[in-house]
Amino acid sequence: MRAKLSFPRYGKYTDLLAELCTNLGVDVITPPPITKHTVELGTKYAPGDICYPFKITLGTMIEAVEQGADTIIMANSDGWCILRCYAAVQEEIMRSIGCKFSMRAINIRKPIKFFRDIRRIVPRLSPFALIREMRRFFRKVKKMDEAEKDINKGSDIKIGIIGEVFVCNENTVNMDIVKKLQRMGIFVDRWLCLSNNVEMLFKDMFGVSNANKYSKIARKYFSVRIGGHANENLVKLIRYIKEGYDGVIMLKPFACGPETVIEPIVERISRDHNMPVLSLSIDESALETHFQTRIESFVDMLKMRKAAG
Amino acid sequence: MKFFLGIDVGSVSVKMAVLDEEKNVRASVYLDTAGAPIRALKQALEEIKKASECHGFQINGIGVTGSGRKIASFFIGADVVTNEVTAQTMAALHHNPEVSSIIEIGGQDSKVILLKNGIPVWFNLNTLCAAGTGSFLASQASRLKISVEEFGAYASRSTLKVNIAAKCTVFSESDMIHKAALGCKKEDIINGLCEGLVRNFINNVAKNRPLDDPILFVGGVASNQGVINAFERELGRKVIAPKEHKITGCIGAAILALQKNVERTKFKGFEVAKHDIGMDFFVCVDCQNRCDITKIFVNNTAVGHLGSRCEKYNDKTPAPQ
Repeated sequence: MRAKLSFPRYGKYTDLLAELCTNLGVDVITPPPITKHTVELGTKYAPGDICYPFKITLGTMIEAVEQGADTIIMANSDGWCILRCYAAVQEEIMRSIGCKFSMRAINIRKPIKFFRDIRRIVPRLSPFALIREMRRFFRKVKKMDEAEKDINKGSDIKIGIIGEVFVCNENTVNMDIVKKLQRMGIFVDRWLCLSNNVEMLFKDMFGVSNANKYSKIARKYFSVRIGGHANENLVKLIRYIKEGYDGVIMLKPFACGPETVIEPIVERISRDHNMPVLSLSIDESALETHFQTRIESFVDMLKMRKAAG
Repeated sequence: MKFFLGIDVGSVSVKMAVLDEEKNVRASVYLDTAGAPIRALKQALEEIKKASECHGFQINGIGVTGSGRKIASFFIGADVVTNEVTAQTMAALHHNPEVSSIIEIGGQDSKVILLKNGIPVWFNLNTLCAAGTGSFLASQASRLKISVEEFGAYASRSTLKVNIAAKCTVFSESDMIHKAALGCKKEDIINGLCEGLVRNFINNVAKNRPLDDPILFVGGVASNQGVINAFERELGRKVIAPKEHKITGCIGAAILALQKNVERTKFKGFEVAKHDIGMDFFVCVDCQNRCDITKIFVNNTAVGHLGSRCEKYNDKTPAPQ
């Protein structure tokens, strides 16, 4: 019997990821959309103090297994933040509540391990086929991300979004912040979109990443590798300032290690460069109205600043 | 003469003010919601109605703000629906055009706004926890069997410095109980609580940013002299609580309505106070978001929806049922 594969949801890219798996020749069950029930499942079984993406991905995996998936793929960051132990801990939790499935962690940092992990799922896959499908997938993702950037291109207010990668990409979790801002007529740059992310991962895989080449100004604020996308976010924040953005919104899941560590640094950069940064913390108890008030206030302030020149 | 009505529907109180064209406050109301915001809103409207009949005000514009602004705008009609930060900024600039820091502590939230040359440059609101806001002080005051107004007098009689952890309401309360059990006097505990609140505000809301003169302190907690004194001690600067500190939010909303100066106001008239408001809740299943939608009825006619993440229910007024 062929394995029925599934994976945790990843925002609007979920369908493309499912398509990629199908093209690689596996049976896929597209994970069901994130609902309140998903969040409840995740928070019920996950350790209470763990970061929010862990709970959400756990919830979608449990629902995918309920829908008949017997193999789950989970990314393993091999370093970075606690994403490296998501797969192992989640497998343990799901077994303890009686889910019958097998967990396949995919290393997303080392090219050889990445290929090895994919081959464990699709045994007769040739490297060429993988590269071909990955490129096709990447092109579609890129198109999707560029479409998002086309909206409000001429707007005089530009906002950049930095923060933790999962909450930046999963619209259900970040209360659709990009659309909320776009409806107010603002140009939004969400740099951690999947296409940039994949690009970065590839650069990282083959050692041409520029994550360690901090600009001079960045070095003033931090000199160590923090984890997650923390360093990249800080560099990007400085770039947003240089590129003349009007404001930056930082999305972080409550209890996210790397993003919590850089918060004081972000605050210092914001103060030194007179750049407004709105920091939003997201977890299961976050209220949409709170978000709306903060975003509206932020946009109002940016408009007043802009009008004053 | 034109008159503008500002309404601030907060978490624990409803505030209304009528401004004339010169931005003078001609009438104002401050009412505790006592858990029933709609009833308080109607009551406040009745009072404004009495005042306006007495002085012959004609409402030409209306602005609403506060956490209940959406409901109020469906119910009463609004020309301007604005957030609390913008409203407070407008009111503070009206009070003192030179203002450079605004501290606002209300019933459920606290915020700081920094301005430069009359332009807001930075603001911050409290995060998930409501520690150190008005409702917490009120509950502690009732536990200690004193009124919030007496806080200042008690705090000034303090002779001993007592540290109260004020980062979280639950821990704060247990710390107060613990200190009382150790034999600390009520005065010292109250003073410690005020100081803890101020410390927490400066660290977590103001993020240790320097607050420059003139500093305006508004919101319900600005009535509390103990907190004002603690702020002044901690900052080493003068903190001004204007006499209309409780109603600055609605003054700001009215100013925004005045600036917009619409031809025909959307104000539905004072008779809405007699209308019957109902609500119905359902979950929209049209997409993956599964939003909880609140349907609002006025006199059994659906007038609008709240709570949808997409534009689906926000722009469309549903057909009467």
